Amino acid sequence: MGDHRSNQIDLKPSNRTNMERHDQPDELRDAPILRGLSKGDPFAVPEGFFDRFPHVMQARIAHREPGGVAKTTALWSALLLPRSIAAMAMISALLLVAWQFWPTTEGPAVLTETTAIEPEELPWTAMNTELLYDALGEDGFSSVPMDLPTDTDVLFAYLDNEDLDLDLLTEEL
Amino acid sequence: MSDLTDAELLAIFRKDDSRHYAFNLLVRQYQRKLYAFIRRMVTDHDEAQDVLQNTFIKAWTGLENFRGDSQLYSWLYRIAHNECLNHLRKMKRGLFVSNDTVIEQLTTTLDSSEHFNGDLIQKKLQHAVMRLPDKQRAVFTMRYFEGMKYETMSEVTGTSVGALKSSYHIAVKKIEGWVTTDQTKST
Repeated sequence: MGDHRSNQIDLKPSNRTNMERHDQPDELRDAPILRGLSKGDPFAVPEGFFDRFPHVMQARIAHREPGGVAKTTALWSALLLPRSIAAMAMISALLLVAWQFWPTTEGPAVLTETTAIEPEELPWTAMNTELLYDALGEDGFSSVPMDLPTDTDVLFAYLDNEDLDLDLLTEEL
Repeated sequence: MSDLTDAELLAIFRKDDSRHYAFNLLVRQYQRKLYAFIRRMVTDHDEAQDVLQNTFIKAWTGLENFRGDSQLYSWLYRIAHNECLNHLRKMKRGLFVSNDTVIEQLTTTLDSSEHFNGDLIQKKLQHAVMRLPDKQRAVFTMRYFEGMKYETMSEVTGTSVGALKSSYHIAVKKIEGWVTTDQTKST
């Protein structure tokens, strides 16, 4: 197992492309232990891991096209699309024929019944619209103010980052 | 192999016949940095490898639409950051366990890992880092270990610089406290 430990991750400053090292003596002023610690990476990887990994990735992307569409999917949809169009046309034709030859007495009766219902008899329609407007705000958009003060932005982002429990925070305050 | 600039890499990638080659270069160029971050987040090597693979798969599928508004490095880092958080979230959801149980599990993984070469104080530091909430652990790792600028961290996390600064400040205080307490206990 000993040979597995030798492949230390190399993160020397010289190898940090596009990465600007920013030491923080002021930020660690009150943290003597953190300030004094070596920032070397103690994690190691199995021998040859970084030599093999690019090949593993090449194998994984072999059948994928950039943009998230696999070649097989494109081919499949090319075959599938004409079939689905043909199927839709066939179903439409059948429905049309069925409608033409349907006994004439039932068709108009249903139609009359449906048209006989007045809008007032459907209170749920109005109610739903009202509820919808209430939920969305007067203009159909969210009524939550979008221009929150910057400080609040910072506070929310901070709380989110901290995973803080708001109840706990209130108690502390 | 000398590192290529973002523009050079993208130029190679945009030619149909050299996409795979460009992607191979990109993986070679960024695999170590991304792995180091992911490993600090998920601790276990095998899990880190899975997350790293998912990161590069997402990069492969999204690279065509990459417009260069940000650095390639911070774009890749953002994918890795999101993949880590998703992985840790799934881990908690999948096991139906609390945050404490996950921390315990990560600690056990670290203690039993044959791929950890740090000394005792580094192990204590890592234990303390694992006690931080996931998002704050990411902030601490980027700033303390990687020395990343707050502006870049903001691009990566989608959080404001002010919030990141205060989160890091709190994280430093917590870790310093935990490591100190741990040392006092063991002496």
